Amino acid sequence: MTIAKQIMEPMIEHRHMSKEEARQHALDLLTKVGIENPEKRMKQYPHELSGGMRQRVVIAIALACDPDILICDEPTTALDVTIQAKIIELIKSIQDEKGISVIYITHDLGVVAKVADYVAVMYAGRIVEKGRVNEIFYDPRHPYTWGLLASMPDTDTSSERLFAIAGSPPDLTNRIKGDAFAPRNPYALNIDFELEPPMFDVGGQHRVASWLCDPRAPKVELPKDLQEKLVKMKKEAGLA
Amino acid sequence: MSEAKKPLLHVENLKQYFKISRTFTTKAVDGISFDIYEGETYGLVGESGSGKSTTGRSIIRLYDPTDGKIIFDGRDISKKLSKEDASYLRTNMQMIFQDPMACLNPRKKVKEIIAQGLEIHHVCSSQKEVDEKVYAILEKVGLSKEQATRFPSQFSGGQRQRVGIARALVMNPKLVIADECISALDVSIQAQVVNLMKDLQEELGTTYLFIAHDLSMVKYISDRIGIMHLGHIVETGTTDEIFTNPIHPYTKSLLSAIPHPNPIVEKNRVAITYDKEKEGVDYTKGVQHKLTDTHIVLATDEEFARWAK
Repeated sequence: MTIAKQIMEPMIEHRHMSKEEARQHALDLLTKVGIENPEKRMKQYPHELSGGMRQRVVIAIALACDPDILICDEPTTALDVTIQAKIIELIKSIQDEKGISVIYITHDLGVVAKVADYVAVMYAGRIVEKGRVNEIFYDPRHPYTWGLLASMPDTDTSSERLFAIAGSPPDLTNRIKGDAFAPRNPYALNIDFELEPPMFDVGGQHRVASWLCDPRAPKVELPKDLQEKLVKMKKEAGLA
Repeated sequence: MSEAKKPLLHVENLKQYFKISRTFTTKAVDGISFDIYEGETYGLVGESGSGKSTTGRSIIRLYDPTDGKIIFDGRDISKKLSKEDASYLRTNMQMIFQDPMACLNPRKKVKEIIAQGLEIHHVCSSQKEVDEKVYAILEKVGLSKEQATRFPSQFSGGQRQRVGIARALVMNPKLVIADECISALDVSIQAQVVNLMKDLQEELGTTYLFIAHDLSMVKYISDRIGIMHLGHIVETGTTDEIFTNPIHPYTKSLLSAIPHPNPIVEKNRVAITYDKEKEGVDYTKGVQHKLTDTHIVLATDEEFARWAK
């Protein structure tokens, strides 16, 4: 299917536009997502476009029906950093202009830091930690979040080894007893293997599903590397 | 990298053109030169379409290079290969691909996939020896013997990439070309794979050509880095030189585009953009400017004077 058909289809189906209206609207959308020469692009097929351009077209298709919520599922994972920066800019500018909400699904914490107001960290089908973006990045409480932050490569430090969370995600076809993250968690308590932790309120909008946040739990120090990383991050952000 | 070290791979003025039609030819790789020394990791970085994967594929001779010289371990492998050279190349240079699901045969067990290279090249004299080698390499990449009889679809993404690495390393190659081998994995698994590759390098002394678009990961594994843009290597140097003293505006824009996991900083940061046309840069006119023995920038004299300021 040509680009034109793919963008026009939802508008004709759901917004009952005429073909001509839809065409006009599609051209506007393509211009808005930063595609030059939209007349020509409309007649082309996806394989004729570059990766970044294809992603722009997909965003145009998503916007065709004027949504209130835009769900972006790893929109930049397959793209290189320079194109990624442009696509993120684009999504943000559309968000500002139309006032829509965006659910941004990604594994790249750098991207999260750039786009998000509010973050939920998921593991094995459950939200394990959620809160405002600053709460999550400057004051992480769940060991899984610690692992994710620690394993982010850092362009400034000279450390030779990357931190990696040991093991691999659990197989969800088996029943999981207790906390799904417990087998990979060096800070796991005995109760983690028995009972799934509830959401603990740790102040603000910050919620954590970890037994470590229970008042009866022993106090745990963050891994040393991560402590240093957090101190540095706060310094850069002018918080400390 | 001391001068005395001899390059394992020497690439000189490599060109790889693809004829699209009678009148149009894509110059995917347009005259690049670099050396990779024994036991080091050379990172090749660039945006999609910069020709970095094509370079890898030309070197391992999945393509026939249009022009230029590729010397691997003292043998010229850029021309038609003799039978002996071909077999030497196919055993001593291996590749790890980006998508482990696409490069592993879904109808074969992991054990068969890994053993295939050994069997084709008659490396082992008995089935027992093949099995031993396969189990040894599986253990090295962190998979168990029991998992050897499973199919690729029964593994997670990170595990599959481990199979890909095992498949490449079982031949005990001198050079491994890793083409975007971590791009499809998430951060914590990326870290596992990068650490694994580093450990194996220390143990086996393998040389890596590490192709990626993510500079931050490349930094952790590479000794030297080459930055590619539109078929040219615009800047090359040790990891330190590239990160602390980038000269070429494209390198700077790449470095500035890496998102930092720091929300307050990140929300106010603006990436440097680089537009070749706007800057009026013509790569074919550039010559190699040496800052140090290892740090080389592709630029004309005038550009170099302007950028180096």
